Amino acid sequence: MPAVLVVDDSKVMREMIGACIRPIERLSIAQASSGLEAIEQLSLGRFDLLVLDLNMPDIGGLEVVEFVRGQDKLRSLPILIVTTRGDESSRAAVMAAGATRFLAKPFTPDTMLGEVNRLLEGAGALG
Amino acid sequence: MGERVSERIDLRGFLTAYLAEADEHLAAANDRALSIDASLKGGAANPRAVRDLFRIVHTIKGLSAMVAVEPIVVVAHRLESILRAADRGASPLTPPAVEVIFEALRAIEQRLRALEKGAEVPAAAQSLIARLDEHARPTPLPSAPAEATLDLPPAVLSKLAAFECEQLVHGAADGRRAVSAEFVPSPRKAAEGLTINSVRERVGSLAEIVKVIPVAIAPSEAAPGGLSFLFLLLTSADDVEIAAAAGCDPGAVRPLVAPPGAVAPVAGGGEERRGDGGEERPPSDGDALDPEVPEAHARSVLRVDVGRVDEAMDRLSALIVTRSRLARAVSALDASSAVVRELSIIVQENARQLRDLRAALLRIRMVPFAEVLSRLPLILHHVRRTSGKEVRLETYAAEAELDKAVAERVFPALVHLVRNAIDHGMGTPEERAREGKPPEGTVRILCSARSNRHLAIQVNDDGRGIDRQVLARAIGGEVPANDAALLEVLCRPGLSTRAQATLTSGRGMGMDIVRKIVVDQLGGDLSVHSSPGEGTTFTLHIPLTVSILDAFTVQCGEQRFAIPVSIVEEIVEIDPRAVVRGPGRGGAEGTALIERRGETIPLVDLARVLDGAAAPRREALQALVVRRGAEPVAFGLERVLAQQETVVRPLVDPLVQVPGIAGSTDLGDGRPTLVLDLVVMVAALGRTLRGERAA
Repeated sequence: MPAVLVVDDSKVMREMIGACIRPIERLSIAQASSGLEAIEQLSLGRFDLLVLDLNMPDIGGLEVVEFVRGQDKLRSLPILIVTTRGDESSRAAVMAAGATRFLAKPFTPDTMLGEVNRLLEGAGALG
Repeated sequence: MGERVSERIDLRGFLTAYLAEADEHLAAANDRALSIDASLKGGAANPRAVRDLFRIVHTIKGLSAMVAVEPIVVVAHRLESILRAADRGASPLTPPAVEVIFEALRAIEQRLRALEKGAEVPAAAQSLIARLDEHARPTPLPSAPAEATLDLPPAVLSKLAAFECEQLVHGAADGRRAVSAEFVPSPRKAAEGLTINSVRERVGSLAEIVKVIPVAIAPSEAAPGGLSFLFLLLTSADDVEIAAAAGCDPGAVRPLVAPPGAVAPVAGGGEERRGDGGEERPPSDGDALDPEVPEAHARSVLRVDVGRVDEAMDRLSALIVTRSRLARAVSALDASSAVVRELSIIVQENARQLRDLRAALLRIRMVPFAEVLSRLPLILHHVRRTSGKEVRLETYAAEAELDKAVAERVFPALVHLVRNAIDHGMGTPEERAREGKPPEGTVRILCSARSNRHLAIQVNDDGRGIDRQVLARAIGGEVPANDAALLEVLCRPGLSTRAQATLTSGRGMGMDIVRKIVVDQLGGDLSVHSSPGEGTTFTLHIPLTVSILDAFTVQCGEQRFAIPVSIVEEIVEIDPRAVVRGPGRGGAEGTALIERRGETIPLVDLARVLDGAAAPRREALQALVVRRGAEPVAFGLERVLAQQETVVRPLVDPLVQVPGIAGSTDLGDGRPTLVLDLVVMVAALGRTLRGERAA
């Protein structure tokens, strides 16, 4: 069963992303509301994809990516960064730190669904 | 598996959730802006608040872009630029920049309100955009990074911003201790509710959390995830307390800044405790948790669309109507000398339960009065700035709660009163000094529950008091003899404009609006007490709850009535030629009938139902079709005027109300208008109509 962790401090944003990718069959969607919670869940669970907002209250997306890429078991986890116009420099930094793809807000449901599908397929998570 | 064709998902469907969350972000943003403003006035920067505000505004921007509210995106984007420059130390915030920030936040709020009303969201004013752009231009200043003397490994130090190092060092100098603590997450701890979120909350209640840093460690049985969170804290609590909250060993709480000449603080009692319990309780994951430390208070809050609560209220109203029928049926039985004692007791019990249920439902709509008042400091900030007066706001709301609908309506009245107190009642610092008063004036808002149905709110200032002589001259009338007369004068609609030249500078007083809200809309009362030289107190008595109803207003004879939209099945135009008369009985004229989609519906004249035969006969032009069960009735009237939201004031206890009259409302003209429950009228009319139709 493919598993995605959606990380955003905005509940509405998490739910919107969830609504976008729900059409994927047998997909399990977990949510985290902060960078620290994301790291905790990633360390304790098993995920095929991380959808990550850059801008969060405790530690930002960049720190999460740096941490994830520093851990053996998470080194190949695909990371889809969700950014906002104006984030260009942090986006560059986070891509340099090892994020896989980025998607800028506002995105359409189909774009998000397409990206997530491709990344899960690439990771061999879609049976 | 490939992509499946998805159903179209419209993210605009998230608009209601967006509005609720945006409001939360905006409240947090205003809060941070006020902190920044206060710090600047004290001559200090507030980098943490700036970073928070930066992040919050960024979140608002991203969210607004998702639901395509471009005018907010535009403002937030500019605002963000100013804050980014400030956050990076490129351009520290100045008082004028903070003012622009406040203005931008207000512009965002106005746009959220427009969106909420379903109105067009206007683009931001060009002047605001221009000023935002102006302040976004960086004016670089040499920044002096703090020389950190923190006892931390370089890998950890590199994760800290300069201001965070500074915060730890300075906080330690101010008497608190700068310490680190560790939390190692595991599935077992998670099962006990011990996660980074709960631990952060627990630790946050004992210490100021400067930063939490994730650290990779070697996986082990205790650390299956190979992860540890390092908390950097400022605290007055001792190590054992911190360790208990973080779920770690007291030995894992370490000082970050060694006090000069002192040995690093010993983990207080930690060693002993371990020695004590060591034999019976082998150390394990959750063991350092002191069972006596109470669980962090988990806020259990449910966000519910007000519409759903209203729907439940509507259902309850129907239940109350059924109960009255039941009660009538029981009386009828009683009259026919049946033994109904037990049935009567059940009906009474049922009435009590319905009352309780109604009270419980109303409580769902209650909001803390303190929450209403929390929006005032922001308004005070603007008034202070425009008036040049020094004012402090003190609020005493205790635990008082009131209906959200009342809160929304009473808030503008409070704003008017606070503004008036400052604009008209309070002198400048110099004037106050001459009056022998402290330069800073005080506006107090006291709120107390008067009964379980009413709330008393006092708005009090320590200003000059209202000068009755000046007021009398301004209106060209007599000097008000007492406080009641004074209120009458203050509430004259024309006062603000007529008196402006002589009595006030700037904003009109708008007391007529305050009274309209308190008395006409909410059914409360308003009084004033003013003593020369000592200040003025306005007292508002308001009901804790009101019902809001979407209603048709209709013209019926000489009168207007309000009728809940929810009970009307259809509005039909009446063609007099298509009205047929049913057979009458005993020579009386039969019931008028109209046909609608193959169904014959009795048409009754609403004016005659209400006034009896006394009402003059006129041709009905429109009719509202109302159905009770399977029985439709068309109520003829002259015309439907409008559909609007009305505040319904119950006339009496809902269980003993006049059948067919749900309450009264004010449609904005100051006259009470009756709210009719036509469904109940159908019930009353039912029998006669049925009889005639069958004949």
